[in-house]
Amino acid sequence: MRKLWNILPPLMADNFGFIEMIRQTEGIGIIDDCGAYRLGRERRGGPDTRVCHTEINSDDVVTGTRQKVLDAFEKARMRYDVRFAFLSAGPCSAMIGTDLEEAAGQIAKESGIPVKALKLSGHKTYDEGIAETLCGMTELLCREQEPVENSVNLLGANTFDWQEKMPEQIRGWFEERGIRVIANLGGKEVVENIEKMPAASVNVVLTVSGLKAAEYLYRQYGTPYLAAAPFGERWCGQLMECIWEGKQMEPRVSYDGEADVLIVGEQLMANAVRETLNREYGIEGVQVATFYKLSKKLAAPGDVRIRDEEDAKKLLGNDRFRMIIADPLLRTMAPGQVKWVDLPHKVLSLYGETEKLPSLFGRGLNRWLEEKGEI
Amino acid sequence: MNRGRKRKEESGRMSREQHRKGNRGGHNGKRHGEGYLALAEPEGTYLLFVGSRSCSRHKGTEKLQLQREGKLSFLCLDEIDWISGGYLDMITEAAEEIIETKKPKHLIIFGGCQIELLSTDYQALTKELSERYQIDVQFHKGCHLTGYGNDLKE
Repeated sequence: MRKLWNILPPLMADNFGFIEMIRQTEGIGIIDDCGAYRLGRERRGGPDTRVCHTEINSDDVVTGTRQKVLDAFEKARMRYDVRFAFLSAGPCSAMIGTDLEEAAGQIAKESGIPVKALKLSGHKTYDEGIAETLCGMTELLCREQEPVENSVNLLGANTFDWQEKMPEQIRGWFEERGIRVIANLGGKEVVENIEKMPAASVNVVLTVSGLKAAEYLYRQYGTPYLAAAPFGERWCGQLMECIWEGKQMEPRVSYDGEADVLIVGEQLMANAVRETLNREYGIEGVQVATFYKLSKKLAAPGDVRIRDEEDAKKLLGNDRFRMIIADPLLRTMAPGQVKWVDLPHKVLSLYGETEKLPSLFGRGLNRWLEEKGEI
Repeated sequence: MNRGRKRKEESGRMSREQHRKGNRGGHNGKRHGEGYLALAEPEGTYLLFVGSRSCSRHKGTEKLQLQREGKLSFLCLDEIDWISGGYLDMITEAAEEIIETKKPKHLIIFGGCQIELLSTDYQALTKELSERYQIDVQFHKGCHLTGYGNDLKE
């Protein structure tokens, strides 16, 4: 049945993505919901997330949650140095129709701090949470700037799609290659850098969740963007060339019939794996599937979005695949004879521990494929 | 007594058993129940959680543990399902699929805050399923919004 999850955990909610983006900034988040959002080891106390909850209860359903939102902001302001704030709804407050935009306006007026309500409700998935929050940061904080040559913004790197260390290493990786990074939106970042983002000559979208912010910056400031995860030696080479020469990426369409290799993961990571398999190992016929955002403009024909467990069973159970690269939780859905390569995607297991990926930057992906995939 | 528990008692902090027995407030002052592990204890019991992705996080590690043990499924609905009223048909369909495939002796349906907000009368549903399949089907009231309690059933 659609939307019924018997084997796999349900997909991670949008507010987790919201928290992940806020926690490394100078802003705060307020979620209008009845309890905290915590993952894994955080569930019994853990690192500060800079996100407060209104802790609504059944009485608030009748009286409304507006005052609790305002109170939560004041409490947060006493605890943190707040440079900006975002408001998000939970399922309850979304259902009773709390006007978070009005509350945001009121808070901004009284405090003089930039505040925005995001269109999240606890129903969408984490990648929407990341996308909305990053785009919100650009809308709220960016200011017109004089352009800076050979500079980029990095959009969308996060520990859910890339795991622990890579989002903080990505800035240094680009700078070692002579590219100045103005802001790493999605990683640890300060307001002054976010304000300067319109100065970049090009934006680099690193995960599909960064695409919305890139599109906003293009519409508002005319900044072009490239969308590619910097994994795989030749794919990275093309990315660097496009940055320096102001060109667009040219992905290879690797099949026009039925694919016999399947990659399941975040779209841009999966695309980078496909490009590497194709360009450097001669493996054609690779299909990408994702449980999350699938941008049509970044997809090859035949790439699909998996909506739920029922979709996953049909796709992975298909005996046309000779190799599947996907999170180990999906292994039981595939036929026994398929060659399986574990590509852990932290969000799939929700609260559990997942195998750590090594750095996949540049040739890192090649090494990983050669070792894990025996390619 | 392990060292961790001894230190807790020496420090004056509440142990987990004391926390469970006491009235901790928070959820409208109602007792924080024994959890879903206890609900699933009787042999042949299967749980069906109905709610948003967000709501599935409450006692999430317990729920996932039960799912791994083959004792729980999640029916994660979208806003449109609640607003349109389609949720009732979907809950029925999910319950039917579980009963037909998992063959439980007891099916317990429980949910997140929207289930409570909408104040739907699930008695008719659970009665009809119980009679049709000759098993015990119950709706377990209580959530993070309104409070938990093992003794609260529809």
